[in-house]
Amino acid sequence: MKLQTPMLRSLIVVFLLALTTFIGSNVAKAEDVLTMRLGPPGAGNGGPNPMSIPPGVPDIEVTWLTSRNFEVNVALVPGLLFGQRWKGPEGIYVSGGGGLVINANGVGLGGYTGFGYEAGTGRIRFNAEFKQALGIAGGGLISPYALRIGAGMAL
Amino acid sequence: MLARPGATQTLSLVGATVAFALALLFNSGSAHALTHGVSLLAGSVEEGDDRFRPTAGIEVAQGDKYAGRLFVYGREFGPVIERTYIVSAVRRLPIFGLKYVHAGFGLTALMESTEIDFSGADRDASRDETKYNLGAIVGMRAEVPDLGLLKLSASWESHLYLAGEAGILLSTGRKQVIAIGAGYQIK
Repeated sequence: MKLQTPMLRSLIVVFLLALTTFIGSNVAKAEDVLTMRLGPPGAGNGGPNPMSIPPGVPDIEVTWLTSRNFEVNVALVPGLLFGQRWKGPEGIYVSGGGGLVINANGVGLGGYTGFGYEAGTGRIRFNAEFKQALGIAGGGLISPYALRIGAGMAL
Repeated sequence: MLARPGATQTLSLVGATVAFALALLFNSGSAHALTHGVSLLAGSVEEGDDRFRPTAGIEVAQGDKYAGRLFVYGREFGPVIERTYIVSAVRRLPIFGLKYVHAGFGLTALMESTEIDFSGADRDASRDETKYNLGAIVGMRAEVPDLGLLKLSASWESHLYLAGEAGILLSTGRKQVIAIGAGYQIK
């Protein structure tokens, strides 16, 4: 993983500050959902390895979803991503947005789409999601992805 | 090391960006807008290594709900001939209340063949291997609105195949396709 320029490091700091501000302003909302998913990422080096047991840091993704369907996704791969979620029938949802895209070939700004399924309306919910991202880095494109499953907790 | 964008990659990315932008710009209402039609597709495919290869295909759409697609790509290198065929069927859903942007969920089938064809004294070393797989496809698609009988579209989708026994631990093989399409629509 290369962090080549001071500008790139600055962008990371800006995103982390935005994330901190966002979390700080939304903790009290009743419908917010915090989800943790596990699964190996496709980091641009030929495809994902099987998930580690116990899961390693690259296998983990955390998503904060607000009552207004705004989401913040934090993972080593595909990156730090902010977006909007559309909820469809039967627990299916689609999300899209942008942020800092990360894989083994670089770090850059880009967009993502996510396709997921969430079961249950109680405090604990099953969640499965596939997320794909495209970012510009090092004069080319990086395109990390991940298929992960996990559980969400309504706050 | 990342490869510099080639002509196919640049064309498909720029085309897809323009189509998605137009679909968002001219969006109105929340009704479905897709029509029956047949389109030829061109784009780039990526297989997990950040390297994009050119691909071509055809799409048949049935109304605003269902579509079938075939993508073909490959290469020839000396005696080696590689060919990959991806066939998929998707159910489309309008998303975010947008008229011309849809998500697609469906099934996909893969056939990969590798042929090593020596001639002369090395003929016995020739090999021929074909592999098959089934999986799921998810993606997004946008259509440029109000073009009469002309149908212009763009898509960004992933074809996911479980990687054998490692699929239990969520290891997958993926064919990512970014494509633009032009065709004829039937109202």
